[in-house]
Amino acid sequence: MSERHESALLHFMVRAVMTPAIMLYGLYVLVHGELSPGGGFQAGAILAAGLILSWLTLGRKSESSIFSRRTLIVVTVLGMVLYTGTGILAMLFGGDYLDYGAIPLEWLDYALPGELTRRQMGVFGIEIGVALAVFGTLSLAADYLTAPRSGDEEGEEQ
Amino acid sequence: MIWQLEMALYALLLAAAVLALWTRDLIAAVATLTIYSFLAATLMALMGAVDVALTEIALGAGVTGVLFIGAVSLMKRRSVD
Amino acid sequence: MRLFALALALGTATLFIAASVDLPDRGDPDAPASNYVAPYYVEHVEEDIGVENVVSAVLADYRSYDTLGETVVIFTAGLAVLLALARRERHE
Repeated sequence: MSERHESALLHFMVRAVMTPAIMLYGLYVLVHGELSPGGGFQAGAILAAGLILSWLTLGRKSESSIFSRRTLIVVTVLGMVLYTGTGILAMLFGGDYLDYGAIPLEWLDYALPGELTRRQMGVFGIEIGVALAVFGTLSLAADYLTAPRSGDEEGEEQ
Repeated sequence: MIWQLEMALYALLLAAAVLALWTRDLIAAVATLTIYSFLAATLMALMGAVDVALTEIALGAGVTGVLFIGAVSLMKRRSVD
Repeated sequence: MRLFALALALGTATLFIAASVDLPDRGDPDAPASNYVAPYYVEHVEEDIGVENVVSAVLADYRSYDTLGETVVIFTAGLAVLLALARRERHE
């Protein structure tokens, strides 16, 4: 097998098999975190690992249109806003800060008795926030640390 | 059976930690540190702390290695101590 | 100097090993760590929160302030990395 074919195989494996699998597992850890080991922090780390793997093998150009630095900063701040916003939302409706049971979404209470479904939704919102923040932070750090030396490749950001 | 396995893992953990300190090549030290993280995560999973093991795998063995290698590649001197 | 470092490391190791003898065994049901708040969490998590994973429930609901602080720490660290490295890139 020639070197060109090996490179094509590597690109195919990373682009079509490994990165989607890792990303899907990260999403599974995120949405299944209330039932199985996992949660926002782990899910964000796994998602960032998948993105960094694709950066390391395929180069930054291929993914830069989706996850540019600006997008990653927006994602990180969005995660923080989601976390604090869930707490403040509970406060606006008369509960304590981060007291999810106070959020008046009674139509959600179909699966579990009382306010438990709302509590689950609050926990889920917070986990999404943590996952986004961790994902953005780790990806940003890796992006800046593995950036090309003299800044010759990113002319669009400055 | 399980405690012999744990003892072997502890020995490997210690060896990986000492090797990461001992080696002169910084990239090799980062690789050894990744092995250390993996062994530590295995031990945590054996102890039943699956959440911590998952975090250790994803952060210690995955992202931290990349960050360390990025930081090493930014340094002027690679392997002289 | 190296001898001093070795003596320091060995002394610290001796202290740690001597102290670890007094620690309770792993998984000991009488250990203080599993006797005060941990049983409450394990017993009441179903009726309090409804999240089956106790670790997630503790992290995201009982101790959500801690998780908020943790996330803020990560966010700040990322911000510091971003500021430092973006400065370096601009100066080059």
